[in-house]
Amino acid sequence: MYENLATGFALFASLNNVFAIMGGMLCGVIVGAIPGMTGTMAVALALPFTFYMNPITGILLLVGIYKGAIYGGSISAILIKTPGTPAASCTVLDGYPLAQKGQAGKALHMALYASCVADFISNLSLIFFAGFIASFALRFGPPEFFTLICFSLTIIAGVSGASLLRGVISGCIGLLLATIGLDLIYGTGRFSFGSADLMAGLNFIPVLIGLFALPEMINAAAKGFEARAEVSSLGDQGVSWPEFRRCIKTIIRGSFIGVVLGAIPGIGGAPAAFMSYSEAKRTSKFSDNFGKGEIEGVAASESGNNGCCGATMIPLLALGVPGDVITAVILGAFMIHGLTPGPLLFQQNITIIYAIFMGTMLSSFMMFIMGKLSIKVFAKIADIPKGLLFPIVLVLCFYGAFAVNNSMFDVLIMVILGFLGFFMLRFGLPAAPFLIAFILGPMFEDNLRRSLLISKGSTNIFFRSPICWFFIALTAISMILIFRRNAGKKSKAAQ
Amino acid sequence: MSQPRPLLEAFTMNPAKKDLVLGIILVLTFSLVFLVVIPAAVVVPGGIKISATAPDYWPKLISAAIALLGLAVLAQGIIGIKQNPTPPPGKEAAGNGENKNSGFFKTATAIIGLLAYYWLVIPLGIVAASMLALPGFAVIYGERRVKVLVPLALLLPMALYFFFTRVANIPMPLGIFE
Repeated sequence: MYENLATGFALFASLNNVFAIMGGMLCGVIVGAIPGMTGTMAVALALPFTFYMNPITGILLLVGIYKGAIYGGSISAILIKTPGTPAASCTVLDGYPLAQKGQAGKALHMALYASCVADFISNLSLIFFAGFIASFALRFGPPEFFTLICFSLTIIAGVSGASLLRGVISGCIGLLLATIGLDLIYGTGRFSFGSADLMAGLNFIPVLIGLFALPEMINAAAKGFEARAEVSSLGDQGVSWPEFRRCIKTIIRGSFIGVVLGAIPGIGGAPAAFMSYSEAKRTSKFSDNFGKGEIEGVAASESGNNGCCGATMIPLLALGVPGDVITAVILGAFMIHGLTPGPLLFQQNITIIYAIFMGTMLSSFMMFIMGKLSIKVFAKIADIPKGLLFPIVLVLCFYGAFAVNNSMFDVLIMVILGFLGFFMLRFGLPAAPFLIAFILGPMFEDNLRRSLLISKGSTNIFFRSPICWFFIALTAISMILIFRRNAGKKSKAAQ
Repeated sequence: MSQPRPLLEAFTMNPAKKDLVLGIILVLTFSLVFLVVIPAAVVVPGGIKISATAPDYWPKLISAAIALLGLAVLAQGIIGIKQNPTPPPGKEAAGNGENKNSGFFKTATAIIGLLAYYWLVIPLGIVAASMLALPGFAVIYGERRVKVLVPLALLLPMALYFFFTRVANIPMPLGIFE
């Protein structure tokens, strides 16, 4: 084993690999920060460049881009309320209010620290627990996924703000819009009205941009700005040690939530971020500040979504099953270089695995360095007066929405969702539950229907395994706590 | 001197009125979706034995749920109005009627501007449309510095075009510049 470790270190220890991680991380942060550009796009664009590289260098470049993009999404989420990636949409909830209070630097730094810690924990989980977590993830079938997503949907209560009723309505609207497209089981059209564009369903990037960025801009037109109003610059704002210490528990919990959810193929960073946020809000002493600019909220969401990064590699490396779209592209990179991820990779190419592990550990430190650099650069955005910033962001949103599929249809969806988001804003319907339901809805429905098809209509299938019982119990406990908290709020208001 | 009456009450509705309006909109819209849109727009193949697996089952369930929740919001609004027949105005009501009207017009202008921007991309291309949209929206937001707006309106769309086409390899419609 020590010989393999030494060989792995020798394979990893080259300047090319270090530069690959550094360059990948920097590209990823920039791409992640641009609304409409995703980590998936960046990884797919970089893939052909890895053909002529050493396998380890190529794979570490792609991993660097992936992790950089996940962190980079938080920058635009905090500064301009336009999450660069779906996983960063939860960061908007407290990151943007902090920026509005002139504490953008604090939010950006906390996002960086939480991301680095969560990424580090995720990498350790990948290295030490890959086998165990992979075998746990393999036990998930449709009923287990369904019960997991049932529990995940209770997150909606945590992000509903003042009115649970409005939060549930918003979530239901998200569930309904997620049904647009081809039915995955029967292949028939749903709300497609014969349009090929609608048959593909609504892409979540234009939905994301339309729902978060455009309503703010439309609403701002009514309020107006002083065109040359001074925006609070970041100055030397950072996170103090007492503030970081206060959030450590949240960061570690969020990291493990990210690890568990990231290891399950198909779940992704956004549900992990929202679940971490919801748990943080439930247990925090400052839960009333969540949604109004609470630094712990930023820590929770970023640790949840970065906790997934290393963990999505677990099913990829251990089983050859990609955890999400990005790892599917990375799977392609492995195969291009003649490597087949899975149990055999650990037997036949263990030195390459060790080299990749070392590279992923280094990536957490690189994220810290690149993040610090990027904060200095992107922070200038906070100095731009809103009268100029909003039109600039609007133009960027149009370019970004078009770039998703080279289609004006996505731009139209963004504009329509912008109007819907404005209506929701005016009538107090929160956007976050809509987004969670939009992301989780298809998985919820598909796994429900698959389970019923397997069991020929019997609902006993949802009680078939300890995993199902575990998530059913968690859902029940969560709902009891939600109703108790709601009842407590109503009786306080009545007094 | 009497204050000008606001044109759109959504800018000044108190919470109970908002609940009433929202409830009505939700109940009507999603009843229509349940009864008319789903049967017309969701294709259900024949011979489905388990109704819960039919393509229209889930959309119907959700739209029915939203309509029912809309009833709850409507009820909340009616109770709120009955308890407070002359309630305090909503938070947007701060300020006089003229401000509220100008806010409504600016919002309407922003909405029309968004639609115009979208429609202009097809004939003019994304660069030219953005060169018009950027200063247009900046003026809506109160920016008047021509020395800042003109260079920004010319340079930013071009810079974004070059980034997406040359760096990211994503073609963008050039329209009149082709």
